[in-house]
Amino acid sequence: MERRLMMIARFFWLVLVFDLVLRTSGNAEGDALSALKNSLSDPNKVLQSWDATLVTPCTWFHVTCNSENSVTRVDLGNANLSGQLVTQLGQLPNLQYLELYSNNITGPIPEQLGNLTELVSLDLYLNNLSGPIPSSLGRLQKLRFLRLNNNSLSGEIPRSLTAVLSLQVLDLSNTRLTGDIPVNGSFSLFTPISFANTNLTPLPASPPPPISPTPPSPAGSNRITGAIAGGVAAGAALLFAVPAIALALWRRKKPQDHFFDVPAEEDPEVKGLLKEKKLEALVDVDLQGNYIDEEVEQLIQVALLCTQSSPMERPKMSEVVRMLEGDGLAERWEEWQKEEMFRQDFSYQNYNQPNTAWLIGDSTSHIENDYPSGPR
Amino acid sequence: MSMSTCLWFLLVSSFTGANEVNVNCLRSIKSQVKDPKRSLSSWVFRNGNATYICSFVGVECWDEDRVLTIYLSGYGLQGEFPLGLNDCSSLTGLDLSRNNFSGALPSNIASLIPFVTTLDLSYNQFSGEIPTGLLNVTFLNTLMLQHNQFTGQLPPQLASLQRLKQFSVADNHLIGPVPKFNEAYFGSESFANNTDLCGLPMEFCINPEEKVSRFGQMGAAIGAAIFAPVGAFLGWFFFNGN
Repeated sequence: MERRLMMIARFFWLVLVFDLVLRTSGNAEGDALSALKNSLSDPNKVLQSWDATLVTPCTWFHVTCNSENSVTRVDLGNANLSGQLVTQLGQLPNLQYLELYSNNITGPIPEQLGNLTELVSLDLYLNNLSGPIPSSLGRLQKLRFLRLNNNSLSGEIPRSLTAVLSLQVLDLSNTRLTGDIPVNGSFSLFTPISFANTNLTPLPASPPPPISPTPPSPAGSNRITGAIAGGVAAGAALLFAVPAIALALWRRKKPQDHFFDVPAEEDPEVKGLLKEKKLEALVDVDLQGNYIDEEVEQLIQVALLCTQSSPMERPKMSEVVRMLEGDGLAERWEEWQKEEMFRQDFSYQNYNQPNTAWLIGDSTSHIENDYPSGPR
Repeated sequence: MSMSTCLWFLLVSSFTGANEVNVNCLRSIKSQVKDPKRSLSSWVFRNGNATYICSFVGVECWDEDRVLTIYLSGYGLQGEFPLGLNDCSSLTGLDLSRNNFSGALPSNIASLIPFVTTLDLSYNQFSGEIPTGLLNVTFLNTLMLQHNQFTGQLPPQLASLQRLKQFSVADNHLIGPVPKFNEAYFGSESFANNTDLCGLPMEFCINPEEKVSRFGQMGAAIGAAIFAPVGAFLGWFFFNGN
C-alpha cells in the first residue's frame, strides 16, 4: 500500500515537473513578447489579446507560429504604438518577420536582435528610433529585407552588414547616419536610393570610361582581294624584273667577238714582203721550199683581203672559196691595190713620212662598229 | 558634377509626389506594351492611394508606393523598350526576358533607368547597336542581353562598369573586339554565337591593317612561287640563246 502511494506521488511529481518545464519553455517566447507589450504604449489596444497566462503566444493577434508552436512572425505595422523596444526580442529563435514599421517607437535598436538567426525581414522604418545600427545584425545570414529608413539613427553603417549576402533590399534613407557607404559584398547591389537624405558621404561619381583605342573597322573582303592581287603582281613584277635586269647587264657587257682583227693596212711587213716576192719569209720553214709560189701569193692575197679593217670590204666565204679555186681574185686584188694607193697619197700628204707610206693614219678611226657582221 | 546633380534631382523627385510618378510609370508601360496574352490584366488603375500598384503582377515595391522591381519574364509581351520606365525613379531591377520585344534600345537608356542593378533583356528580338549610354548605368551588377539580334560592336565603355558581375551577349550578331574588363572576367560562353567577336576570351583580334599587309605578303609569296620558275626559265633561255 505504501509503495502504491509512493508511486502515485512520484507520478504526480513527474507530471508537475513536466508541466512546469513545458510551461517555462512555451512561455519563454510569450514572456519575451509580454515584455515588449509592457514597454510599449498601445492606445489602439492592438495588444489586448496578448495574455501572458496562456501557454503559448500562438493564439495572440498579430503573432504567427509554426507547427511547433514557435513564433515566426510579429506583425505590428501601422499600430500607433509608441515606447521602446526590449532586449527580450532576441529570445524568439525562429522569428522570421519582425514588422514594427510606421509607429512612433523611440529608443535604440537592441543589439540582441543579432540572435534572431532565422530573421528574413526586419522592418523598423518610419519610427523615431535613435542610436546606432548594431553591428550584431551582421550575424543575420538569412536577412533579405532591412528597412530602417525614416528614423533618427546615427553613427556609421556597420561593415558587418556587407557580409550578409542574402540581403536584397536595404533602405537607410532619411536617417542621420554618417560616414562612408561600403561598396563591397552585398552592398554592391545598393544604389544612392538606399542612402538618400542622410549625412552619408555620397557614392563617388563613376570614373571616366577608359580611353580605349578606336576600334579598327573590320576589313572588307574587297580590301583583302586587292591586297592579294597587289601582292601577286608585285611578286611577278619582281621576278620578271630580276632576270630582265640581269639579262640587260649581261648583254651590255658582252664583248664583241675577240677575233683576230689586225687590219691588213696596219701590217706593212706582210705587204712589203708580198710586193718584193720574198715569200720564203712568210712561209713555214718546215715546208722546205715545198710549195708553189703562185699559190702562196694567192693565199696571202686572200688573207690580206680577209683581214681588212672594214668588215664590209672583206670577201664572203663563198667568194673566198671561188678565189681559192682561181676565180675573181685578180680583180679583187687590183681593186684593193687602187684603194691602197689612194690611202697612201692621203697619208703622205698628211703625215709626210715616206718610210711609213703604208700607214694610213690612225687605224682605229676605221673601226666602224663593235658588232660582228653576222654570218656570211 | 552634373551627374551627381542629376542623380540628386532624380532622388528628390522620387520622394516628392512619389505616388503619382510611379503610377504614371506603370500606366504608360501598360499602354506602350502589346499584351496579347493579357498577362497585365491585374494592372488596373484607379484614383487614391498609390499603394495598390504594389500588388500588380510582376511589381515589387520598396515599402508603400515606390516601384522597386519590375519582373515580367515570359509574359508574351511585344513592342519596343517601354519609355515610360522613365517615371519609375526608384527602380533597381528590370526583367523583360523571354518575351517578343523588338526594336533598338534607346540611346538615353541611362536616363530612363539610372539606378538599375539588374537588367535582363535576354531572349527577345531587340535589334540595332548596344547603346554606349549603358556605361552611365553605373550600378549594373547583372546585364543579360543574350539571344537577341543586336548588331555592330560592343561599346568599349562597358568595361567601365565597376559592379558588373554577370554579363552575357551570346547569340547575337555582334562583331569587333570584346571590351577589356578590369574587375571581372567573363568566359567565352558570354560571347559565343556572334558574327565576329574577337579578343579574349575569344580568338585574338587581327588589326585590319595587319590583315591587309599579311594578305599582301601572302600574295607576294604566291606570285614569287608562280613566277620564279618562269622568270628563271626565260633568263636561262636568253642566256643560252646566243
